[in-house]
Amino acid sequence: MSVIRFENVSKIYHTGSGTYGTLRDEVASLFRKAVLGRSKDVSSNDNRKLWALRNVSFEVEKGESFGIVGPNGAGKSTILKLLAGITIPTYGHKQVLGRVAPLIELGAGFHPELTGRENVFINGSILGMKQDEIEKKFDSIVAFAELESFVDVPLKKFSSGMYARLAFSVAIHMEPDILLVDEVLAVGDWPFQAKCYERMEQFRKTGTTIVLVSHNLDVVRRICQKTMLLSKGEVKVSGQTAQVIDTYYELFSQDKIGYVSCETKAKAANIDNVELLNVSGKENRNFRSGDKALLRYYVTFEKELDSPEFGFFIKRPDQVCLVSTGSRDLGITLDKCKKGTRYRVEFSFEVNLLKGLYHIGVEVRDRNFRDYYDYIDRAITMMVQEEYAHGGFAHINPNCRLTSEAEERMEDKEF
Amino acid sequence: MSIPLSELSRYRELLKSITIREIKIRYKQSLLGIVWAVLQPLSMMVIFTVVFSRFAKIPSDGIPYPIFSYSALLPWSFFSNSLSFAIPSVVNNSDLIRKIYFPREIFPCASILAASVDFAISACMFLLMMIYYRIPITWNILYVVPLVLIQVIFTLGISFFAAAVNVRYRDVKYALPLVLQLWMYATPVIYSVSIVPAHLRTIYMLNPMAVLIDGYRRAFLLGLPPNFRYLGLAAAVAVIVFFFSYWYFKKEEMTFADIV
Repeated sequence: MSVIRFENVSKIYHTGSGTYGTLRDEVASLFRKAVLGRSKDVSSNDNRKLWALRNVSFEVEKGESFGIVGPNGAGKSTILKLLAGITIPTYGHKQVLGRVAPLIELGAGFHPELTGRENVFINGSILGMKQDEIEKKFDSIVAFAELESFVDVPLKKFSSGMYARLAFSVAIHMEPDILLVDEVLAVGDWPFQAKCYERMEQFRKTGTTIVLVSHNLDVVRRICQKTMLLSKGEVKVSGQTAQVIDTYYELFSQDKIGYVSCETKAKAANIDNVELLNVSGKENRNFRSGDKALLRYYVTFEKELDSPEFGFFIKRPDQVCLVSTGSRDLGITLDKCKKGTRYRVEFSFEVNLLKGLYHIGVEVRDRNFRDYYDYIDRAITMMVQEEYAHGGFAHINPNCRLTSEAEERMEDKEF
Repeated sequence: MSIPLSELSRYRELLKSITIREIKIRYKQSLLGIVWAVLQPLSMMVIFTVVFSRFAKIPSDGIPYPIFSYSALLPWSFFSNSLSFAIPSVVNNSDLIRKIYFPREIFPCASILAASVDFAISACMFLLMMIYYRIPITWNILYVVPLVLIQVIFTLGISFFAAAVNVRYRDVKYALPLVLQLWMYATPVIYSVSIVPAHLRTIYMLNPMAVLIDGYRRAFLLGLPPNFRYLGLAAAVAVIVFFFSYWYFKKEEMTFADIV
């Protein structure tokens, strides 16, 4: 039985005025309409429509864990909002059966002036728990959050970690039919995160339907049976998680998903022709763990600058920086550059990364990291194949050997 | 219109929690706390007595002016406090609205419930004053029940509509204090209905607050039943306003999360 069903759901947001504005704007537009005989011209009206979702259809079976992945702005959060019943589709039809626990935004209704105890009750009832249900689970909630000695302290005295732990703890103590999880698992310290995953596993085993939205493909792979890939509000592919994630890698290693060039204040140089080459000198985006790669770009200076530095960095899609290095770190310095000069910059490196998608960014800056003359955040997206580990991202070339004690003694004798 | 009641009862506990939250946070970190509930109408009473009774010599139907004005300030403060909290309540809880679904009318309802606590507390003060001024108590004070009921329905009505409009146009927030001020002058708070010219009386009484405040005064201070013709009118206006504005609120509700 499918507990979630979306049929050709579209959601349009109007980004222009009129949705949220002052009466004055509205009166002004009425006036325009009356006097000039036209409303806002149609073309500009169209531009203000933002299709957050376009004809999205999918179904989630009871007890299934379903992942939603995609780059920023793909419409993932909009789907969660629709599932939580916070907003309605502009077109199409949706059906959600059962009690939904939105782990989307934690600590809904938390108030800093109230104590932990008071907030647990309010937050719990906002999440749809009954008063006596909360009372019964109260000790367990506080214990899970590890906040036993803080229950009667106003929330404003809590650290942000404590706050998040309490919020998460309340949320997972409801017994939902459908659990909606956003990137919220990134709360708290590492042991707490581990506890959260454990709890998610428990939910899964007890037949709770889970919808998970995450940039962390490892987590999606670990928890979800089926996954849907969204891009610009449309479903690119949907199906078995492993396949969908592979497609995700392929799709986004082909095109530059974000060529985010920064408008830096001190823009005094121009980076162009960023290329990533393999050992045979061909442009390439797909590498195997351990391959050698060459990153090349050109810089034209538009001003005379003192000792500029050239750098590059590799980031995971969730913006965690894996490495950032530059000419000076690698022993190359340039004292002065004249206006109009052009340099070719080359970095060679080993792709000691595991399977996944990585963004490479490039930069030209001063030696103190104060002024960025130019930088491109995601100049190139690189895909790495091959996987011998089940998690992580560092390629360390490991080996494993297994010897029993008896064999060990034998070896000792031989020597 | 059959949905709202069942929905409200399903969310009764949530309404309770949010009301308690409103009450608790209202006077947190204030020295006098709940005393403010009495202090506000009481200080208004003192000011009004000095300015309007002593200086301007406004007649008060032979009743001591302090209790004359307090009897009106009490329901009026309930009304204006309710609106001041209920109308921005949806916008103020935008965090929640963008996160979780539950019937949004809970916010205005909780604000009005919270204001009713203040009302109850300052009403105790009123009873003390009745004893002090030796005002005879008659059975007519039981009319307080329909009076309060009509007032709550009317207040809810205004709140739903204005709260929904406020989500779209924040102008409401700025206009509200001004409107409340004007409205108070159009209501017999400072003066008595008897000074309103007879030919304007019917129009004047289209304002349910005028009927209600006159009704409270008659029941408590004069020992008279309310004027039933006007009371019926007020009830009708209140109910019409309530249903229209509840309909409007529910119509707009689903867009709150998108624009708030």
